[in-house]
Amino acid sequence: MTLADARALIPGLAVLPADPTGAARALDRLAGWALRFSPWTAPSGGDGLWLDVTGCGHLFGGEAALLARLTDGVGRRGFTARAAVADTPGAAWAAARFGSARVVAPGAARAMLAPMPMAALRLDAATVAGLDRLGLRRVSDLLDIPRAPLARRFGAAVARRLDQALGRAAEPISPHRPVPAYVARRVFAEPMTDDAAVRATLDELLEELCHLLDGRQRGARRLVLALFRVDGGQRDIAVGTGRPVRDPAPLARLFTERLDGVDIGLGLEAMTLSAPATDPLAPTQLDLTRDGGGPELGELADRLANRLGAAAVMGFAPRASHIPERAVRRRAPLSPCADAWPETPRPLRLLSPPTPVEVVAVVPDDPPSLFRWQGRAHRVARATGPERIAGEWWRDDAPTRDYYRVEDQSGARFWLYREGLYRDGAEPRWFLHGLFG
Amino acid sequence: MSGTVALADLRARIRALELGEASVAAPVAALGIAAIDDALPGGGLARGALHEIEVAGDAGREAALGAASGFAAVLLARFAAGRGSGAAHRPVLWCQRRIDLYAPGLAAFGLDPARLIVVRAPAPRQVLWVLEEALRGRRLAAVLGEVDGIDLAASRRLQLAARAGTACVLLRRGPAPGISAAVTRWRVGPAPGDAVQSGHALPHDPGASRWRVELVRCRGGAARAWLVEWCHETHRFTMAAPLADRTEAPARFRQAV
Repeated sequence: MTLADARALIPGLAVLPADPTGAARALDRLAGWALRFSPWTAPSGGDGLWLDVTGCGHLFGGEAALLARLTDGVGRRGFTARAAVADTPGAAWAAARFGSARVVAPGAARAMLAPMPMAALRLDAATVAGLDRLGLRRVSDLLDIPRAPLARRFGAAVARRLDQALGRAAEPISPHRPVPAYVARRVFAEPMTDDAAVRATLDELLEELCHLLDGRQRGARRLVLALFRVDGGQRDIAVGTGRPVRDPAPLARLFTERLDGVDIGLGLEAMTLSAPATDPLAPTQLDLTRDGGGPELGELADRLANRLGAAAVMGFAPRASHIPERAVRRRAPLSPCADAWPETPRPLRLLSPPTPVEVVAVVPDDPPSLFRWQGRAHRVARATGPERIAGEWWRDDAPTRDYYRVEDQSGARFWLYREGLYRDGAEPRWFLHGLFG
Repeated sequence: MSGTVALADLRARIRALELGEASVAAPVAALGIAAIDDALPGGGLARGALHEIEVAGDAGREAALGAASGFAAVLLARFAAGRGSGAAHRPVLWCQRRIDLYAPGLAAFGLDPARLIVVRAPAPRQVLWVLEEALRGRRLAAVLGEVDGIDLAASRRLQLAARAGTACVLLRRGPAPGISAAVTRWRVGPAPGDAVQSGHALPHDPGASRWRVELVRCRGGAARAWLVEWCHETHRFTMAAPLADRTEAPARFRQAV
């Protein structure tokens, strides 16, 4: 009926503009909230949610209890919902929308579907009308008739939907968020508010997850701890490691610091620990002779990297380049590196970017006799050079540099360079690039 | 001869009293030059303790930073050498607020870049945290942190953490505080080279670094100053000038024995 007819029937009708995108977003958020029940959730149509609760029922004390908590939670978020559990998505869809049974026992799908109207098979309106004209009004009418004439008349959809509902054909559901391969989960009957209990649960989750990883000979590189709060919010804490780890103790230490700053609100109702990134890890033997570079150093590097950022902990390796600031590259600390360092004398500290200095140089090719840096004048007592380093023409057009190692009157040693060659009219610039020891 | 033995025994007992909780038999890392090693209790730098290096401020702290960094690198190399089984050097950690350490320049001081972990910690509090975490791990030969200033409580914490066996060196770039819990405190600055050599340096001659190294405070020893030269190829110290004795009495005491 049109809006005018509806208003005529009910004078005080409240009318709101439809917002499909907003509704879709809200459904997405609800699917995210439902992750505390199962890692496999997805929006269904525009008005429902799929949850794959295979193996999750026991955490809640049975599937009926899970359904009760689900509808409770959804209701608290401001929606009215009807939920059902069955062994196929099609049967569950039908039971939630058209049936009264909450939990459909395995194998009872056929009996449950039989008295339902044709729309319970997720067929479109035209097909339902067509079947109705033929006198097929209930699902039980379809169960025993031959398929070929139906397919000729209505296409393959009817048979497919029937097979999906009865479990004869597979129906995969794409999860709303990627499901990690290694997950450990704990659900609490009452909201957990005690910090010590949260840490104890984290230890249990780590044990379980490491046991899972052990069975597959893998180690975790990245772990995510998801804390589901009673008020519907979710906090994620992620840690990373430099090498695959399967030992609960160092992983617990990585989480300890982060747990301090987490606000659990009125309490937690579920905690999940997942390992989104894992690497193969062979079983290791206990090593009685430990030399430097053992697992403890990797653990130290992980702790430093988790607090300061992965780019803050590094080692150095040589790169084949003459340009001084490009001659060094970062590498993972203490990883094996067989490349040789160049033999030319180089400063201990390199200023980046090079600092411009004012220089008094008498003759073009001679080293400077005086330079001014940070407000002080340094008179040059000894100098060697020039060491000419040309720009890498294949990368950019950087000018040639002439480097000089100078020692001033106090004995401090500097690495200066002149950028560019002397040209008529153009005064080349001088820079301080490093300090020698 | 019993006089000498009794004298040595008496010296050891006085040293134990002076050092307090640090035991006389603590492992040390010798610097490789007798003049400095003899001035240090135990014949070298204590391995499980806190040491401080201050950048000399006379000619400008920034200019002297190179010399102090070179001396710090030499200390780290000495701590890393000769520990563990065979030739396996334990790694060393260097923590800076802003990374300006240049790896090709480390080899001149005996420090192998392959066994060096560099950490960037932007805030001073984070530098101290990094040092404490690394000291607790006990898998490193030495750690070095660059700080502007450090108060007594923090230095005491580092000294306690270092007692597990890893040496901790602080490179202080700011002015000196009054009291610190460090076992030795050094002040290092550059020194001009010999006038005779000027103008005769070969184009590719690295030359020897010359430093004025001052032992400002030492638990169990006296304050001294030296002028030393560090050769980049042989990785050794040599004396550049006669010892500059600050106090008369210890020299006479040595000569008598």
